[in-house]
Order: sequence, then structure tokens, then C-alpha cells
Amino acid sequence: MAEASRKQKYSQISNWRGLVFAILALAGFSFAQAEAENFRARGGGDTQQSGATTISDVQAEIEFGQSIAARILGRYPMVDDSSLSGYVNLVGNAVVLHAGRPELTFRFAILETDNVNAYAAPGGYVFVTRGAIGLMRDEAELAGVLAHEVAHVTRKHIVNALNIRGSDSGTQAGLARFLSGAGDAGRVAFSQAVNKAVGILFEKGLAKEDELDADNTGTVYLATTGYDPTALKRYINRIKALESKRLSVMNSTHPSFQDRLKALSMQLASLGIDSGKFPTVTSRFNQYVKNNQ
Amino acid sequence: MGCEMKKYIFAISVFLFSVPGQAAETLYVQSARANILSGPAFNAKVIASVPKGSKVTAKFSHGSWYRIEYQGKQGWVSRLQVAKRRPLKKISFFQKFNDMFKKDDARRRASRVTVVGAVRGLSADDRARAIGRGEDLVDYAALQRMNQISVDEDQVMSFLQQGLKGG
Repeated sequence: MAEASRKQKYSQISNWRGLVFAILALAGFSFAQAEAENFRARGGGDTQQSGATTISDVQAEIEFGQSIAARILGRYPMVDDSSLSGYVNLVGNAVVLHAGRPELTFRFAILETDNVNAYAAPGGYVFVTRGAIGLMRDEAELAGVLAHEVAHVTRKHIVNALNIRGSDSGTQAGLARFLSGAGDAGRVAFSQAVNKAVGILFEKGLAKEDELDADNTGTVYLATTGYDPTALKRYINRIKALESKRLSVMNSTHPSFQDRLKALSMQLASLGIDSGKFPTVTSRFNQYVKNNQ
Repeated sequence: MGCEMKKYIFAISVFLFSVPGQAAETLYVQSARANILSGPAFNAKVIASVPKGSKVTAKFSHGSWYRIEYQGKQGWVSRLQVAKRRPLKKISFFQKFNDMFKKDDARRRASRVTVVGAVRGLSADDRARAIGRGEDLVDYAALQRMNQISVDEDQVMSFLQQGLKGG
């Protein structure tokens, strides 16, 4: 009798365990589905590069990006230092080789301003200010800041923010079609899109989730490239203490440092790279950057 | 925490947070190389390093990872390094752009107050003042210089390996 009672009790516990497990599994599955949908909705992961993107879409993205890049270069002069520029382009392209858009040629320019910031235009145009470079301590930090910007391009954050969709969308606003629009309407639409993109870069900022996504994606790029994956977090942690004037544009266009650092800590832990010794490439950075200041 | 316990928790978490795919899916490596890892974390053991364009079979996804098979080996790869299509070749669009501005195509500049020639001589402060007045500065000459920047893929890989070796 006692044996039967024990068996019944064990069976009940077992059933409860099974139920709890099933609920957890369902909750986990729903969470994972929601996360995956959210990831995809923001142009995430492999789906951004599904077979639907056409060559003409990529060409349109480059043309659009060039017009935005010309506006960025209108605002800040480009630093004319072939050694430093060559170095930044090598570091940036090392990251790019480990990102997922081999069809794009990325170019990196240094902007002559003490403001601490970096910008990216669609199509592969990336900018970092001299003020931002001056606060870096090693090559991994430079790679981290560039990786954040490369992520904005690979994840098409500006294009998505403007709701310009590729030709696969079936809408009338296909990127290639949109940017090659004939007549006055097409010209106005193109001009308005460039104005909006410049407004996002210098005033309004991207959505908070896109900035956090660029931090996370940039950190993955650091890891896949081989640099210290904590470098972007280290850099953000340092500049948060700066006086506000030099950071005014970044503060107005990015989430708070606290939010970014918190998200990055979680990301690094989940990727298994929150501790350990990784290459920072400090001596070469000093040779090209610190010794020439 | 014991090793067995860690394995148990890992197995449970993979089950809970994995999105089951309908069927195995073919994916192509998009980055110069992609490491196939023994687990969904960058500190996991590297099983293989495969070059751009390699075909892998995704079994299911788990967060930002795919469980894949490559040449009989099972492992994990970051979702950011693969795509459903073969990697595209480089796409250039400069010729059309350069031609457009050689013709001094005024239509695209209609809304802009100050363009190429005027901007070139302005200092950073001058530019900031002009922006403050609401002027819309555009520097196509600088853009053309930027478009001329070119780095070779082999040069980049050699530069990277040299740097990482030095720590």
C-alpha cells in the first residue's frame, strides 16, 4: 500500500515536472520565435541577404550612399593624411572581410573635427572623426568603432529607417526603382530621401534598437575578425566620462551609454567572450596613430 | 557547477531557445572565412575554418547561431556569416556616378546651396557656420577622392594576421 502510494506520488511529481517543462518549452519557443521575427524584421541575420536582393538594388544603395557621403564630407573636411587613412582603411576592411556583404566595397575616411563620432552611409561609406580616434587606445578599439558603423551598412539600418525597400518587396518603392525615378517626382523623392538620411545621421538618430543592434553585430564582427571582442565596450565605457560638448551629436543620436554598456555586457556573456586574453594590437596602433599626433 | 550539470543546462537551453526549421536549408559562407564551432559561443572549440562561398547545411537556428553540417562535420556557425544565396561579386557603381557629375547635372543639386567648388576652400569652422545658417554643403571632390581609396584583399588579410600575431 505504501509502495503504491509512493508510486502515485512519484507519478504526480513526474507529471508536474512534465507540465512545467512543457510550459517552459512553450514559453522558450515563443520567445525564440519572437526574437527571430524581431531579428528578421530589422533586416537581421542571413535573411537580409536572401536571393531577393538584386544587383540593381545594390547599385542603387551605392548611389544613394554616395549622395549622403558627399553631404557628410560637406559638413566636415576629410583628413588628408595618406598614412593614417591607409591604416584606417586596412583595419576597417579587415572587419569587412569578416562581415557579410562581399558585394560592397567599403571605404573609410577620417573627418577633421574634435567631435567624437562616426558615421556610415549606405553602400559602404564609413567615417570616423579625428576626435574619436584620439580617444582610442588600441587597434581593437578602432576596429570596434568601425565594426559598429559597418554593421549599420550590412544591416541596412538607414535604408530600413527610410522605409525604402528592395525590389523584392513588391511595393512601388523598390530601392532601384525609387532612386532611378524619372521626372520631377523621382528627383524630389531622391532628394528628400537624402535629406532624411542626413537628418538621421546628424540630428534625429536611428532607432535605439538599431544602435544596439550595431553594437551587438559589431562585437560579433570583432570576434570573427580576431580582435578583442570587448574593445567596443571598453571604448564606450571610456568616452562616457567625457565633457558633453564633444559628445553632443553622439548623445543626441545614440541610446544612453548605460543602455549600450548593459546590452554589450549581456551580448559578450552570451557569446562566451566576456573574459579572456584577446589581441588588442596596441603597438601598431601607437605607431600609426599615437606617435603621429 | 559540475560539468554534467553544465551539459544538462546547455541541452535544455538549446531545446528551449531553438527555432525548429521546416527542413534542412543550404547556406553559403559570406565572410572571407567562417569558423565552425563545437558550440554556439565564440569560446567553443574550432572544428573547421571554411572559406567564402562554402556550402553548409543548416539543421536549425538557435539565437544568433545555426547548427550546421559541413562535409560530414556537425557544428555551429554565426548567422551573420552565412546567407541563403551564393556570395555576390563586387558591385561597382562609380562610372555612372562620375559621368553624372562630369556633366554637372544640376537637377540633383537643385536643393543645395553650396556645392563642390565653394566647399573645398572652407575650414571646419566655416562649414559649421554655414550649416548653422541652414546651408546644405556638399563636397563631391572629397567624395571622388574617397572613391579612389583601394585596398587589396590579400593585403588586408596579411595586415590582419601580422597584427593579431603581435597581440
